[in-house]
Amino acid sequence: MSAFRRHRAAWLLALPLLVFLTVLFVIPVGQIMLLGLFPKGEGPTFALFEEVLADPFYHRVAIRTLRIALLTTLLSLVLAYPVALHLRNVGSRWQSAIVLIMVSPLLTSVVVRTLAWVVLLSNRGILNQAFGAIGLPPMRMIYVEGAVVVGLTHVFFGYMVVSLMTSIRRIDENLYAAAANLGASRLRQHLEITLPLSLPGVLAGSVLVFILAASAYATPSLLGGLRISMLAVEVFNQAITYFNWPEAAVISTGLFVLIAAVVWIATRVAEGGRRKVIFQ
Amino acid sequence: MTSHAQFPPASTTDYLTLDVVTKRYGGKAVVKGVSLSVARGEVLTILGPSGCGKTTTLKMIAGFLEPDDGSVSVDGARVDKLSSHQRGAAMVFQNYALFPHMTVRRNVAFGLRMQRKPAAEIAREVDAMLARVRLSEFAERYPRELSGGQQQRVALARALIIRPKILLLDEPFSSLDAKLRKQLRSEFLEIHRNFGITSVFVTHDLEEAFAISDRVAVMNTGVLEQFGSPTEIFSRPRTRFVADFVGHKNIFTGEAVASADGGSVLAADGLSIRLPAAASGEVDVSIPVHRVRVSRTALDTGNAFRGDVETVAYLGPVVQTTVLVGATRIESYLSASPELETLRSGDKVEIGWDVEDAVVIPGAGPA
Repeated sequence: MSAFRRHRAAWLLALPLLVFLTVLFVIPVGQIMLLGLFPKGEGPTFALFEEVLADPFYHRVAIRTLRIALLTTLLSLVLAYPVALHLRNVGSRWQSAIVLIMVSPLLTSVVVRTLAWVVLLSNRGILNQAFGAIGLPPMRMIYVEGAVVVGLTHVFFGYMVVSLMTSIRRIDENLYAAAANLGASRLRQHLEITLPLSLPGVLAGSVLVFILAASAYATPSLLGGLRISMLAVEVFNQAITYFNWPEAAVISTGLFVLIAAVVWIATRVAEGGRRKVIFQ
Repeated sequence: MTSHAQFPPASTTDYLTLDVVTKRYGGKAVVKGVSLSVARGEVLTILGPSGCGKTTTLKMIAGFLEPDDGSVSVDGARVDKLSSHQRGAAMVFQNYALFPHMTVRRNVAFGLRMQRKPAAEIAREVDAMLARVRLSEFAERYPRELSGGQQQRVALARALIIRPKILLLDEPFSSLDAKLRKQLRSEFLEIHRNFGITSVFVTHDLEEAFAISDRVAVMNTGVLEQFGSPTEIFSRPRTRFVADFVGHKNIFTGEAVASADGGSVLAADGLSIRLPAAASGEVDVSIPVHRVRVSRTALDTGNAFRGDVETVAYLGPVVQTTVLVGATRIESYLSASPELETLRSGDKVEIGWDVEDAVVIPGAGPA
């Protein structure tokens, strides 16, 4: 109670947001989750949960969702790391310009961006026309998992850059000078200093991109089509197409649990053991 | 005896030499033709106000910057094209730059790991080094869990374990309070005695420079104003800047005329001051505060004036007095005595000093 007293002003300032979140987020989300427990207005029963959990179709979709989200996270990480590293060395004017370019996909609608990929990748799209012009056979580049991963990476890459940049920029320049002074090559400096000290940014960016990718709807439905469905797409199908709200609620709950579990494990692993000191 | 090689014993030959070193940034010289040298095992301090080029000079010794002109030599060999690691210059940074994600042991082991030494050998050497700097019990701690003094010892141990030829320290105490500074200063001196390594120290703190150095280089606006032992620099400042910087208070500027007895007389601020040596033209003269005597009775000093006591401050063993002679203020800093203790502001006194005590400042010129 004394802690509350001491921080009363802070609590009061946070109150509007707390009310907002409770009314507009916690209650509706909780209601949707409860919907799965009371499928026909009676219950509670786990019958629908058992049904969905036993369905091989949902197994495939869940595993695909995890795989696509994971690949998107890894691809974003691999692409964003060099950019964030480079941003350390450029002047502040260039820095803001590059960050703006990186974040610019976030400024347009997901649908517009994804339709651009459709134009690029579809069977008679720009890339396949170009292949045809140089005598190559057309390739299937849309409605495959790769297309979804590329599309999602494009959309969420900016979050990764910004997360990485904040932690990489915080690293004291003198640490590099000290390492060089002790005989570390440029590569060793990055392996010994940049990599471990950027872990908080890696974790934050990865968690962010993973959550966004795993729950994405627009990009997988446009670039994956019916063949490459993901859990969020199935939620939409069940709720809107089949008007089966209880099953949509069960899938949403499953997606939520899946994401929470992955994020929890990733956080525990990344912050575990000796690396704890980096996160303090 | 541990596996540690002892650092070579001190000798009087120059070990580290800077020969007319110049550094320019965008056409503007920030270090102008600085020449310095330090003997093996000695401590050299580069002293000056911020922006005087002392850190730039240190970085050129360290190998972080390449001089535009001139050369840097260590043990008779030119090193200014070598990286800091190749030239055997180990640096202790202002904030120590300890690796925050590594334990004390891994921080100290870093240089040896970069040399790809076998793990067992690294462990042995690190243990020996930690024992030498009294950090054995902190080996598994992280830098943030250490006090300032312990962090400094880690930084020194990390630098010394690669057996550098020279140790460079960039204002390592500047961000600390006075008490801690003194403690760390004596810790540094202890480690320096223990390892006997040639060290170059950068500071803007006069007391610090005088307390730890064998030689002091005073810099101002990129120019080496004076280079010598602490006592030389204090008792015979070569320029007006050095005299001011090392705390000379009674500096008179005026026209000197040679006198019949081989000395000369300076006319400054309405006073006629007899000088020990022949001088002519415009000169600066400093009278060290601890040479200026104040008395109610007549003084038999070569220079004596009547004046009024302006302020008296009793600082325990010493008494600080300012006396106005006409409009000229003269400061005195004397051991306490029964007579001085009765002085009050406004008292009429005699103030004076021996002719030999006046320090003629030669002025700008080759240091």
